[in-house]
Amino acid sequence: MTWLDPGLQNVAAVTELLKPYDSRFVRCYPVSTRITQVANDHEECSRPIEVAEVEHRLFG
Amino acid sequence: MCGRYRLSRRKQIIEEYFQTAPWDDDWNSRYNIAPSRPVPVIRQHPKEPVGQISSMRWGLIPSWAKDTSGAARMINARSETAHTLPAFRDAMKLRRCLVQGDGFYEWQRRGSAKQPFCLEVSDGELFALLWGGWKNPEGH
Repeated sequence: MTWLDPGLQNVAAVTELLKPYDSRFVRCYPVSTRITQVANDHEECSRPIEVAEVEHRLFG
Repeated sequence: MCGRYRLSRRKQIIEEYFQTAPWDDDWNSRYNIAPSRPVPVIRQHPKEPVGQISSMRWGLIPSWAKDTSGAARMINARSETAHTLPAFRDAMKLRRCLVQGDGFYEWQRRGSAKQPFCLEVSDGELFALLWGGWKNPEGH
């Protein structure tokens, strides 16, 4: 992989390798605020929550 | 900018996807990886042209730093500016790695509250989440 090649030391060429990921392929969804606590490291941290839950917390 | 990320996929999948050399250690699925925590990264194998997984702490410590206290702040480098910043420039030239992840989290302020979001690659592919969890010259 070119990025990892230690022989490549031209910073301009290295920078050229960095491309933004196509945002159309990124899924974005609200999750529980439990992620905010570093100690919480569980599958629930990235489970999608309902928009209603968000609105209730924010505006309820 | 990302301050937490997820690596839910297991080592075997990562090794297969990135075609890395075998690594003895293993990890559990992680859903809330924070700065300064040890994370698996891929670097070039010292003798062969293949990737090799190893564990490093998330947060760059510049060579001139007196201690590790600033590492929690140096957790992201922007591709547009990394090559211009003293702290990142040498690492970008000489010490690149891949940080593998399959999702990351961002917080959005809404009024007085902050709502976290997870961003993940929709087709289930892996991606190199951060291009640069670099080591300092001492290798930490």
